[in-house]
Order: sequence, then C-alpha cells, then structure tokens
Amino acid sequence: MANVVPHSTSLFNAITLCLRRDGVISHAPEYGWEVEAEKACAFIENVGGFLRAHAIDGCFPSALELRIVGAEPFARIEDLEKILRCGAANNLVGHIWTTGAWVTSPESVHTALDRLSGTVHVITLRVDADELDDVGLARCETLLGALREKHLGAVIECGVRPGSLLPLKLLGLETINNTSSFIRIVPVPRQPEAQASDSDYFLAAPQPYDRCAERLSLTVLPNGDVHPCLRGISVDAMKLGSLSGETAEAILHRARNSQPLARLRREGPAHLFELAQAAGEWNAKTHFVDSCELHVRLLAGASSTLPRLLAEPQTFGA
Amino acid sequence: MAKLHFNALVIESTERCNARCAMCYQAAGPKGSDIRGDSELDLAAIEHIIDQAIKLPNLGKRVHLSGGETFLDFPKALSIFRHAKRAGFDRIGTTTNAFWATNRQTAYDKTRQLAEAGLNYFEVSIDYWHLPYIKVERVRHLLWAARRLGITVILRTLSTKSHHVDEILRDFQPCDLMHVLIGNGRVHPVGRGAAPEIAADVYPGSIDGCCERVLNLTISPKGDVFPCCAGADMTTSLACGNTQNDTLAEAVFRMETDRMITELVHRGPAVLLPIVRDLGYGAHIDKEYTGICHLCWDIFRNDDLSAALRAHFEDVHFRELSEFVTTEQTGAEDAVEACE
Repeated sequence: MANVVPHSTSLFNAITLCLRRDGVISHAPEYGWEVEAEKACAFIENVGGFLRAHAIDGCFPSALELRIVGAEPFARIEDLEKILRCGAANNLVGHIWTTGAWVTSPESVHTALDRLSGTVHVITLRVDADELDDVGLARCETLLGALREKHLGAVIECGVRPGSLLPLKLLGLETINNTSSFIRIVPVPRQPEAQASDSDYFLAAPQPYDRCAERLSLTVLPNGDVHPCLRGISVDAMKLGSLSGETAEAILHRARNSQPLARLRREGPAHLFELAQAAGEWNAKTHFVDSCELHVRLLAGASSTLPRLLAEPQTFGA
Repeated sequence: MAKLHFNALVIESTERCNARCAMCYQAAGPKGSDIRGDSELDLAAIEHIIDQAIKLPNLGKRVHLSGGETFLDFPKALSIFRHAKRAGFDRIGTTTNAFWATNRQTAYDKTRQLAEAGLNYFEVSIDYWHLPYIKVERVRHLLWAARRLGITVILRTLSTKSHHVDEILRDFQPCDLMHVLIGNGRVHPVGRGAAPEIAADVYPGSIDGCCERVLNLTISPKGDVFPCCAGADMTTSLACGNTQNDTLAEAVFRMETDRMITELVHRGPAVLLPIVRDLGYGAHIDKEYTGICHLCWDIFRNDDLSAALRAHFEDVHFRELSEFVTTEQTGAEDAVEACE
C-alpha cells in the first residue's frame, strides 16, 4: 500500500482505449471497431512496460483503470476478453462503456460477464434519455441486476439534449434504489450547427473554475495516437504522441513536463477563451454546453488567426 | 504492520445543522447531535489538523469539510478552504444541504467566493427526509451556479422501499443536472435513522466485503479521530485518538497497530460475527443489515461488546507473539546445537 498514488495527485486518472476514433459509445451497432485486439494489446504492453519500470512518479494513480470506449465493446467479446486479459496482466482493472445493446436476457449477461471474470470491475451503461423506452429500461434492469450479483460496479451515463426530459422511470427502478447507484447526466454530442434553443442547456460564458484534473486520461486511439482526454481526441493540437512509434515513457515524460497540460489540469480551458476574445476571434452568439465543447471549438476553430494564436500554448507534442 | 490508505481527510466541523432530518445518521439538528451532543472544532484546531494531515504519506491530497451543516458559519468555511489550498491539498470539497442558496445570484456569489478560496467540488444532500427543511429550489439554485462556475457536483440522494430517487428529482430539469453525478444510496438505520418507522422501510444489503479502499481519515467535532465517516464516527469505541491530545500521525499509528481495526478494515466486519457470537452477544447481531457500514456501526456502538472484542484480539495478538517467540527460540537452540 505504500506505493498508492491517489487520484487527487496523479496527472492522469486512467488509461482510455478507444476502439473507434470517434471515441464515443455508438448507439448504432453497425459501427465496428477500428483496432485489432493484437494491436490494442501491443499498446497496452507498451504502457505496461512503463508502469512496471515506475519511471516517472505521479503520472497515474493506483489502482489504475483501463477504460474501454468506442463502438460497442461487447460486439467482439473474444477480442474484448483478449484486451482485458492483457490489461489485467499489466495490473490494469477493466472499466467498459457499453450501450447494452447485447443484453437480451439475464443468461446472455451472465455468459458474457463470466467470460470476463476477474478482468473487469466496472461497467458504464450509456443510455439516451430520449430513446429510453420500456425495452431499454428492461435492458438496464437486467444488466444492473447481473452486475450486482457479481459484485461489479455499475454507472449509468444518461445523455440529454435540449428539450429532453429527465429519465424518471429509470431513476425510479427498484434496482437503482435498492443499493448504491451512480447516474451521470451528460450532453449528447451534437452537430456544430445545432441551435441554442434552450438557454439553460447551453452556457454563454466559460466556466472559470472548471479544471481538467478530474477528466485527464491517457487516451489511446486505434492508430496509437495518444491524447490527454477523450473529448480532445478530434483536435490534433492536443496530441501527445503515438504509441505506434514511441514508448509510453517518452510520451509520459513529455506530458509530465508540459506546462500547457499542467495549466489545463489546474485551471481548465477558460484562459484560452480570454485569448480568443481578446483577439476578436469569438462570436458572442456561440453557445456551448461545457468547458470541453468550448475547448474543442476554440482549438478546431476555422478562423485564420485563432489556431495560430492557440497552437503554441496548446501543442503538447514534441 | 499493514499500512492503511486514506482517500481523504474528512473534517466534521460542527454537530449543528439547520435541518433535523428523520434519517440523519449523525442525528444532527439546530442544537447539535441527539447522540454526540453539541461540539464544534474551532478554526485554529482545524488549521492545525490540516497542517498535520498534509504531511501524512498515506493520505490522499483531498480534504472534505462536512458537519452537521458546515455553512452555518460561512466565513469559517471560507477560511478552512483557503488554508487547505495553501497547505497543498488538491481536491477540496464539502457536503451541504444548500440552505444558503436562497436565489441564483446569492448562490453564484457565494459559490464564487468558495471557488476562489479553493473549493472544487460540492456534495449536495437532497432526499425525501430533507424536504421538510430545505426547498428543492435552493438545491437547483446551487446547481445552476456551480455549473456556470465549473464546480463539480455530486448529488447525494437516499432511498428506502417507500421513497425512491425519482420522487425527489421530478422537480429538476436535465440542464440542472448537467454533468452532475447522482450518487444514490440506501438509508442506513443508524443514528436517527434507527427509529423503528425508518428501520422497517430500509433495503437490506450484503455484509460481504471490506472497506480498505474507501477509508477517510475522519475528525469528529469533538476532535476524535476515526478511520471512516460512514458510521464508525458515530461510535466511541472506534476512536483512535483525539486531536487535542494526539497528533494525527499517532492516531494513524494506533489504527495500524490495532488488531481489531486492521481485521475490520482488511477483512470486513462480517469476519467478526462468529467471534461476536462466541463472546455471547449473538442476540445483538441477530438482524438484517443494510451493508457493512451498518453492521460495523451496530457492533461497535455497543461499548461492552467492543471491549470484549478488543480483549479477544489482544489475546490473539499475545498468543501469536508467544508462538513466534517460542518458534524463534526453538530455531535458535536448534542452530546452536547444530553448530556444536
């Protein structure tokens, strides 16, 4: 226990493996994985080598989570099992994001969870408040019931958009109420052209104290690219390096010494908004739902001067 | 000696609360706790605790201020957060019922002051039993302000068989709860919640498992030091020191060398059940429990049973030491003989 590094002090909270480049759980099961199990395992071994060497203190907490996101991880259970076993061999505890689309009966859940026994400790079920019908609720109950029987952790992420209603039926389920439950309300990713029709849904100004500390995770894309968080994977300026051509140690040394990353961890992206505003590069009518969306919009901005303005303080890579 | 790891320092600054909820495990109210009385840690004492805590190697850099209702003295809470930030704590949070968030502007202004002082998360209590004392609107004001300032919120709700979380959240909009983690738990029949009408309505739970990964070094308003804030702090027998007489390091050392506490932490309270029966207290534990925290509290709230358990573990410890010494001695004699 002497080597325990609490989450409150480490740079990254977890390692996140994206099975698809969009990084978000897909509700359409036809969106397949973009990474082969062998390649994903090679990435994990690369990070595992660093962990075994304990080369840089304070990069990760212990115990360290391997978060698996993107597409539907359970769509390829054999590959998922290989990846999780590789994670376990590298002292990583599995945490899977799923749509639950594969849940057809209690037996189907037990069969899948038995296969992954000892390699996974939490499953996050991602649901959409607007699509949560009786079938979806029954699926939630079945999955949660099985997870509890097996003493595994369960989190529900419920996506909402402007005009959504709270999923009160979900919140009233017996299985939510008869033991400890965690439900997080999150925005559904939207198209850039979506209008700010709900003034309380969107924010008009940056959140000045919303630091990134709790969101940072060493996030690995299917091609090996590494980013410091899941929401930033679409922005090249936030790339830390690539496990395809570098060791995890080299990438983590860079991350540990990155002043922009340290500032994001400490203060969040609000200071970038001020830069953009000072340069006249921010449209006051642009709304965003949280700091991450603001950050991505600032960095991905198509205007002529903003990317240049932001590139220097935001480039984490070499 | 197995090291204990504490996720956070929890400071229960006061027994007093503006509310007097029927399920409150601390039995807190405007005149203090029905069980622990009316105590309060003063600012100097809390600052001294923080200064010691930051130096403990096995304590996460997180400090959590709770009560009672800690914002009954808002300026004091601000000073505590400032001190914790200066001392080097990275995660600084508090539990509140949001009574002070009388409107959006007040909630915003006060939350901004708290954030400036170093606070980065709230745990906001709201449930069926808070409703007679706290308007839902005040919680909504606080959530509105916290989101705009970027302060993390964990909404702490509680359920029984008759009262589910949807009942309390039906007056909320999704945008109120954006990025909020709703952490729902069962009511434990502890403190005021042990009253028969509540106890009869709670959900039973598993008593398997241990708490070694969820410990928080907890200081009660009297200055007593406990390994957690989930019921142990409502006993006297699990106090491992007092900040008026002991340093935090001494209190932690006492926990780590107390066989009864280490068994409890690393193996869970259920391993104590056969011993409790052997000691003649079987009738005391002949009931359904809501979980390990409830079981732990139920065993250790009984001072006679606690004393008997402590004597049992001291006996075990003494026997093990004797056996160790005998084995070592025999081994040494054998070695001498072999040399001769």
